[in-house]
Amino acid sequence: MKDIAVMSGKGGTGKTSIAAALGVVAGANAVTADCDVDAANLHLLYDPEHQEHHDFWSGKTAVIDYDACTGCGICHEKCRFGAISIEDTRYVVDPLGCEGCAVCHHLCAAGAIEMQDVLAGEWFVSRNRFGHWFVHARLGIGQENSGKLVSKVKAEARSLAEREQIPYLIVDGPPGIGCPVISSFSGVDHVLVVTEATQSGLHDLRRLVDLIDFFKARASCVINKADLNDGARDDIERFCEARGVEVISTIPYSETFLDALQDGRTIMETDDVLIKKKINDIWNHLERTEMMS
Amino acid sequence: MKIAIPATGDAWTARMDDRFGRARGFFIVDTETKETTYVDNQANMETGHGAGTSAAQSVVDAGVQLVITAEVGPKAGSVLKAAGIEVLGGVEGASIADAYDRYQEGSLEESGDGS
Amino acid sequence: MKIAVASGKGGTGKTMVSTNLAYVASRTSEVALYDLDVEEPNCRLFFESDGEAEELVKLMIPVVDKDRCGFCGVCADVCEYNAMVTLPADVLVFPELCHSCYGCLEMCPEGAISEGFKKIGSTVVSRSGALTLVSGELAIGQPATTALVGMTKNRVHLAAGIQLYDAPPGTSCPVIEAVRDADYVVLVSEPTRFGLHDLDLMVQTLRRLGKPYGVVINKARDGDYRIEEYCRDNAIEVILRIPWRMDIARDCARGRLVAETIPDVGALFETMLETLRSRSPEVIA
Repeated sequence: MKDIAVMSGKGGTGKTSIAAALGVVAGANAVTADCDVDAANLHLLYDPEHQEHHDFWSGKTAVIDYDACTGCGICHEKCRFGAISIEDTRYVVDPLGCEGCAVCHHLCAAGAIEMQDVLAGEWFVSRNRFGHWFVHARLGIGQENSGKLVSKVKAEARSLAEREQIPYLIVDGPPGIGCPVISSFSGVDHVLVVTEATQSGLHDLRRLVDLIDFFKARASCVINKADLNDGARDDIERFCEARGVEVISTIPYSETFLDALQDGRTIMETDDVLIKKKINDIWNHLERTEMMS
Repeated sequence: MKIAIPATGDAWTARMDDRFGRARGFFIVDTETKETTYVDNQANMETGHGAGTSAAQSVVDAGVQLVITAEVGPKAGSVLKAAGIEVLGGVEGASIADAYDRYQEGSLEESGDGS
Repeated sequence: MKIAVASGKGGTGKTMVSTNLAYVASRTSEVALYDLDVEEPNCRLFFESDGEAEELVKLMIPVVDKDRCGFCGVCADVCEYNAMVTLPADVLVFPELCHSCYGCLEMCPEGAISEGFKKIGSTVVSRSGALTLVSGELAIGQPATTALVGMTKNRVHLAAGIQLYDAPPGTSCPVIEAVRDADYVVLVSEPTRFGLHDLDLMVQTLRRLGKPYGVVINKARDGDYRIEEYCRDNAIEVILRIPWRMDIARDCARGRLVAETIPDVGALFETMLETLRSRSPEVIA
């Protein structure tokens, strides 16, 4: 089973649109996983039918028992995250600020603070509207995005692919370079970076490639909005060559992406022959590369 | 001495768990007394980060001198090394009894840090 | 006045709005722009600076004095992040797991733990006219995004004027940290399914935080008014509508400030600034 992560570093490069389209092209040969769990979007194109739904518990939050509280204030004093404040005469925990470190719980002489598990989100195993397996999740508002939910989605998607003997896992990865990105790299065979021909795209690509090197994964690149800034595109191509990242496709800036997104269609459901061919070529290239390795 | 084997359950017939940090539990055998104990590790199966260090702490606390495992992650590995606990890595798939027997026969190879 | 610019969805034009708003405001007053998208900070790309000052950002990690330590194991027990392991005659600290909560230090019965530091990234302060730009940049591989957002915000304090915060994408911890001190939040959205979905998530988030907010519709196209309709249905003010135009896309792609290069876009941002000023409880110089 080959694990292909579609990443971007910068948001808005077209990563999710491309990942969704690759999932359509791969068809029954791929399980798709939406690991961009913070403000997840892929389900808006895939319109999934949930087969399984699971709660996701992660971290803890401090809860004060006001019957036992003596008002000594040590919790407020020692909280390093500013999560305990005074309202009227009471000490109040802000659940959106609480890190779950339990220092207040340990220091409270009255034993008035309990640590409670947090229901941080949920994850689903679904069939998308094309009938193919799709594993996805929703991270709750204000939750720590430690990568744990990403790991869960990946682990479930991997075991599903193995159980069903499906040869590919396509991961729609999170933006940035933090823990969620690191979690989506776990066990990855191939990272497909979707960047854009802009100064910001180039800047963010550099940081992402530094991270990819760390994981020693194969990486290739798609330059989207390729005709937006020729200088940036040239810089990206030079950078990729210097770092051993193969540029496998360049896609011109096109309203097709926006049009498709407007009605919740994937690129493969538009009339844009050029871009659809490019997506097909990208998938064929990935398959060839992965089959040979 | 005491040997720990990552386990999917508390039984000689249980399969080895193929992970260390996120193993379901650790099956511990005292080679002299033949007594066995089981350390539940389920809290670490689902934890975000630090499963390896926490699992390694449990193994250290149990007074173990040798770990027989499929793999061990870098953080857990560094803990076991610092604690002077030997690791026989690359051991897969077998039931606990099977892995233990092969160890007794001397047919498992030392591979140092378990990688 | 503290104004955060957020979006939920990445790529809607949050940085375009924050940088151009900062530029336009700096033409008449002192402005500070904080780039809090510390994993991929981009604001700096749009400004020529007169000089930069970089400072390393450090977070506390525990240092154990082995002579005072009794190897009791309390530090490892209280650590929620499994960042400490106690051996019979040693204590191991894993800096990358440490969340700097000080729990071990507080609970050690021997007082054997003191403060050490790990580097998690840097902040860079630069000047461009009347604009002070403060960028936070996370070191690759460091799990400390939220902490760095907080520290970047506190790096420089402006006595008066406008403070703008360019928030990271999403609705998780780092975004909460970025907007929590703001007097007003500008939400940048785009008329697509993704844009609308994430706008709604951000609106829910800001309602929980009790923050006032308004919406900027970027890449607006004729015939698609889903964001306007959503705002109308939810009594949310639309502050500005920026049309989807190739010239805007190209200049942004080149790292240019469109409020400077395209006059009618500059006028749009002036209008936005006036609207925001009229929302401010303070008098802005």
